[in-house]
Amino acid sequence: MIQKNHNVSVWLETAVSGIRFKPDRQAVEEELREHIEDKTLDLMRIFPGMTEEEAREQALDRMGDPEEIGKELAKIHKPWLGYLWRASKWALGLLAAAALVVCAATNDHFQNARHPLWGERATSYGTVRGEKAELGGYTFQIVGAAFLDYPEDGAYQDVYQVTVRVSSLKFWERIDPAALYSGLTATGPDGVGQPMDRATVNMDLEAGASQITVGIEQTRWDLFSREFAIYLEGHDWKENDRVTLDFHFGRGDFALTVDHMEQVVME
Amino acid sequence: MKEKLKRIWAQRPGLTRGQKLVRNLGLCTLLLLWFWGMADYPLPTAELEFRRLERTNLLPRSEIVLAPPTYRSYLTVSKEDRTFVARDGTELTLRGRWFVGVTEDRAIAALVGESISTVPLAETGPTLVPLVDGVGDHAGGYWVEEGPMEGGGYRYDYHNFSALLLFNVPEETARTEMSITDEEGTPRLGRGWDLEDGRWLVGFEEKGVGDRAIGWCLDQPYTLRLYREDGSLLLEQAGTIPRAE
Repeated sequence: MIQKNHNVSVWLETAVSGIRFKPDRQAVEEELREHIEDKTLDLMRIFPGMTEEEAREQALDRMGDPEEIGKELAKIHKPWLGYLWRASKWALGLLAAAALVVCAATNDHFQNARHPLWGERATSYGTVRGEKAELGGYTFQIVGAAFLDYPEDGAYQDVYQVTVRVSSLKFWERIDPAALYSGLTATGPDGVGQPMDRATVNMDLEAGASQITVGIEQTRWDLFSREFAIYLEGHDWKENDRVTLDFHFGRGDFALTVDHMEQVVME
Repeated sequence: MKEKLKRIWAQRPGLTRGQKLVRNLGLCTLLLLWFWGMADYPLPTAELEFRRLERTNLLPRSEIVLAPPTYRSYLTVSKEDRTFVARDGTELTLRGRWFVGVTEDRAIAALVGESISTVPLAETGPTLVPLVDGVGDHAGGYWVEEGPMEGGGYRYDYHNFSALLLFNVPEETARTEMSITDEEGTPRLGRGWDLEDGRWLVGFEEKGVGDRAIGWCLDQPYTLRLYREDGSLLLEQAGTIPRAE
């Protein structure tokens, strides 16, 4: 019995010797072993007079030359793919574990506390698909335009709010908000251009309210874009009130205009 | 329920080894990008960071006039400090990695990882670039005086200064002097160090701790004097320290 198993083991060892990736070698050896056993049992069934040892030897003969088989198997089973696959499993496991540790350790899960990848700070009103312009790999588009109509006796003043989205596929190079603030002048229906590198803030300390009446703030941002709300003082709303945004950058100038302001009654 | 889940798991489409490899590498890439974002998308070199600052501020690509040298740990206070060696051998350290670039009509000053600003180029004569960061504070620096102490040992005196950069300075300039009247009306005298290639770093020594007010020299009148080797006056220029945009 030991001799028979030794013949099979030697045959198998020769047949799989060309497979250099160990897990593949073990799997193929197991499969071939099962195949030899199946063949042996088949032969014993077909030829009842045959002993197990004879059947096994016949089975090995019928399997073929183990050295030739070894060469063919070596061609099929590329070791580099196996090692790469194993390395990728380890890398993924380690990165996933590291990500869990980082998430547990930071207060803003999935985010960089200093520069969150996405967020929202204020609300934009009057959704539109407005004029678009492109410069330096960025797309500028007006995405909101509204006249915010506050109660007469309230703490807030009426304002125009125009929202601009600045987007780019290069998520590692979103526009610097400071560049926008210093490069933008907004002109409302009154025809007066207001530079956006400064702001006028209306504060009602009694009511605990503060409001930008002239200025700009970032409202939302995600991986590929930032949205900014531009505010101008408003008085009486007209549907065809026009606001022009003049952009002046080192790389070039352009203007975007919106001439339809949705009235939004605020409480 | 457990059996149902086992059946669903068993029915999942089988992937080849190659497909599993692609899937794993794809997931690894996404995780690495997330880590990169969590670290605020750092770039491998300071120059790449400077170029990105130009692009995200929609500025044209400039020709670099001043770039931070390699970090040197000897006598520096922080890992962000960079030491320049002037022609006369004085070692001047600026706090932060500062770049200055030039385009057709403006000079760009950038503090890597912080902010970028521009000033118009001078029509004639040297251009003065205040190195100003995002909060309007201008670059500080220091030079160190080493000397033996009485009774043995060495003494290191740190001299702090506020810095501005001059470039397009004529080659024959051997010495520069600059005076700026500060907001209190006090004239302050600064000296220049030749960084070669027409670049001079002008420093105004700080009188004491907290002396350096935020943006103290911006919009203030100045007089610049350049002297030749023989001590004769080469150029005198007066103006207002430009406020960076």
